[in-house]
Amino acid sequence: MLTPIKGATHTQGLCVSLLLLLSIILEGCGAATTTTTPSSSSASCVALTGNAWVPAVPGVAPSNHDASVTLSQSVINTIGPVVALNQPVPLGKEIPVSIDMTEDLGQYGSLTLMAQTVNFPASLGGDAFAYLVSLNDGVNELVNLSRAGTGNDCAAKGYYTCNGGSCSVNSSCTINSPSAFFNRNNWEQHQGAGNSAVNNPSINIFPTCNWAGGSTGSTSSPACGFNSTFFPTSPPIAATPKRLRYGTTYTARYALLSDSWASPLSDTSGLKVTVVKKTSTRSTPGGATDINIILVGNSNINASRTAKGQQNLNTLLNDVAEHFKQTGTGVGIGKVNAIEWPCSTGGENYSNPDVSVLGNLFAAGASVIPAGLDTKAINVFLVSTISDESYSNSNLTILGVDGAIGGPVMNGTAVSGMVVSTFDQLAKLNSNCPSAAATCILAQQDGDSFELSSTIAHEMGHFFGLNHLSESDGASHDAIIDTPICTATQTIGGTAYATLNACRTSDSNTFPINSKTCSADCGGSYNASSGTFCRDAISCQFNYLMWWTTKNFSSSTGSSDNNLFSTSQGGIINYHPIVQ
Amino acid sequence: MRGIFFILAIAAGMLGFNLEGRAWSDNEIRASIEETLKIRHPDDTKDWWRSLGANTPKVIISIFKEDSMIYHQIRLVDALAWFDDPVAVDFLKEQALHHENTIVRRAAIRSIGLSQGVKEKAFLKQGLESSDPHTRLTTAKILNKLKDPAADRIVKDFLKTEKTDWISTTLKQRNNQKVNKLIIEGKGKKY
Repeated sequence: MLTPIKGATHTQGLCVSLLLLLSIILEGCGAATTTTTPSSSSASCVALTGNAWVPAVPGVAPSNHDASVTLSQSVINTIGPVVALNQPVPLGKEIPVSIDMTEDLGQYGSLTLMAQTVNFPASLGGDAFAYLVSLNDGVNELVNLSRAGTGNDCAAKGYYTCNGGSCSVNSSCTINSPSAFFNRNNWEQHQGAGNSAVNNPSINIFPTCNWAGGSTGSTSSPACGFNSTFFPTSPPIAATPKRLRYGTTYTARYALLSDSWASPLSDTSGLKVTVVKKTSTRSTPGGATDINIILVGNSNINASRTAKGQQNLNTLLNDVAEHFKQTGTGVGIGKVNAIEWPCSTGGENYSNPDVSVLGNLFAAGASVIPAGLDTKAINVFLVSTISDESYSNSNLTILGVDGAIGGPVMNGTAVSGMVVSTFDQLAKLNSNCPSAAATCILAQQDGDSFELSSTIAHEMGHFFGLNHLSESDGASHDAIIDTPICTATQTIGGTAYATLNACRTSDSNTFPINSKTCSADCGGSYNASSGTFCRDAISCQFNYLMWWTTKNFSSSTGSSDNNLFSTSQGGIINYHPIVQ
Repeated sequence: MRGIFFILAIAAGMLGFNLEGRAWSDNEIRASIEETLKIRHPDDTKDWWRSLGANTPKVIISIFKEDSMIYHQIRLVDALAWFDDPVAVDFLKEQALHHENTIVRRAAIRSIGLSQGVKEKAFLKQGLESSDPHTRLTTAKILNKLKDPAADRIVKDFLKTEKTDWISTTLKQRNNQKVNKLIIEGKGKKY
């Protein structure tokens, strides 16, 4: 007998979407790029005043894009079996998809596979994840999961073991070497594991890395499977520069894993795979991304319609541009699109969201983003505040959240963008900055302003595929060869955190790039309260933008810890299809 | 041996003592709080804050007065939700009524609700009568979260008169929200 552990999950999202649709039908779509939105006539909405923000960010220009980059997109629809989370997944339960890879995508070209379950049987309730479990380039297996079907592996015993309403990883279902992924966690991150499966595509971008050297399994100096094995090195494909194998057909294989069942299923569902090929003739990192700034709710919109708000928005985007154009990353901003999501079209519902509704926010946001802005722009939703009521014994406010590590090239999914809290400060920040200035220089910025722009840049880093260098517990790391790791922690309130002080004073890991520990590299004069930092110490994690916390930005000093991207981080960013 | 040490460390922390067995000094509490304020996506809990000891509200208020960053101020106000302390309650009321930032004001209302529950029914009712729709929603949500029959009645009455569609819709959705999927342990982290 089939036993649903729990029922449907998409009711809430559907209701919100229907309400939003109804709202649009009744009140019309008021939001548009850089146009004045009519003031809301609804008594429920604060009136809008002033004229919409027209971004004027220094250095932002369409010419920052690389004209040689092209993006092609095709959709493959198929059907196949659905399996329970703990069900064995032999070859016959996988869904094969053929991908034409005739074309040479070039050194900074990439192949992105976004897979979604469609037409999921309503009788099952919930939805299904579309996990990419295999990708064969004609010579190599790039995912390389243990799925031979013998023993306890993924094929024989399934991907998870479940008990009641809770499932955990089948520890025998692992990633073998070589692989595009560094371990099972790294692979699952790109499959959408653990979130609601509703409207949540798996997003896999290949190559996942491109550095030479390192050794398999090393934490501090990991090898890249592409450089060590997968990039072709013999004719007819040139040995250098390295790129994905071409002139062949790739075979991707998917497993549709129900998010609500822990007993065997025999149903089928639709699978939609969107294949995006980025072709680039570049030989160095570069190009640009566009940014859609979506001002959510009338409070943020009104702030953006003041002179100070517009100066602050231009300042924020200027800072973001500065973060991304550094050496090794070389990514500019091609265009900033200002988009208003007012109360009259449902924006107020999402202006103070809890993390539990962010999937709905990202999906519903597509209703206000003009068509055509999804293939080379990242969506940055500016909300008033984000709360986290996930736990009954917590009361949390959050600076920013990104939808996915390596986000999609499509709008309307539950992971289509990132969201950042303005705390209703857009029109109030940077009071020391002269009103005539186009943007505020760093020395005149408030700490809140600098932390807001660095949070936007940090979340963009996640969207482009980067993890924190080390996670908060100092136990897991980003598996990138030229970023330092920190395993030193400080116990605060019974919880171990990899803090700046712990990494700076007691971490014993030597950074292979300069053969120094952070403490040796930083020296003894570091004193944040008096404004003494060690910005050039590349073996200190906190000098990188993807450090897991904010920094000690000192207002009006213009100095703080650094916000570096490493060269290999830049390589990963440059594979993202939105960077063109 | 390491395991025993770890358990002792946690137990000491839970009681507001450091590893030498003495209570945390105000400077130690301050240093701990300043570390947690840096986190973009915090996960601190009621127990975490209480483990810092009885002096924590005083230190929180002191940091709040010195730190002008709005994110930090909101997080500090959030933390006071876990202390049933008369000075903290007065401080929160002051912020709820007079702070210049709307998000701080709403955070203060939330913390009063969480720390005092229906004991502060009269104060919370003021939030439901605010001209700011988000303040009304915040107050109703926190009353809802208390799982208290008296608080539920207040919200029910509020909904009868609330004219703003998206407020009533949001509250009704929260009440009808069902999380029906299997939990995959350790996954689904937000970045």
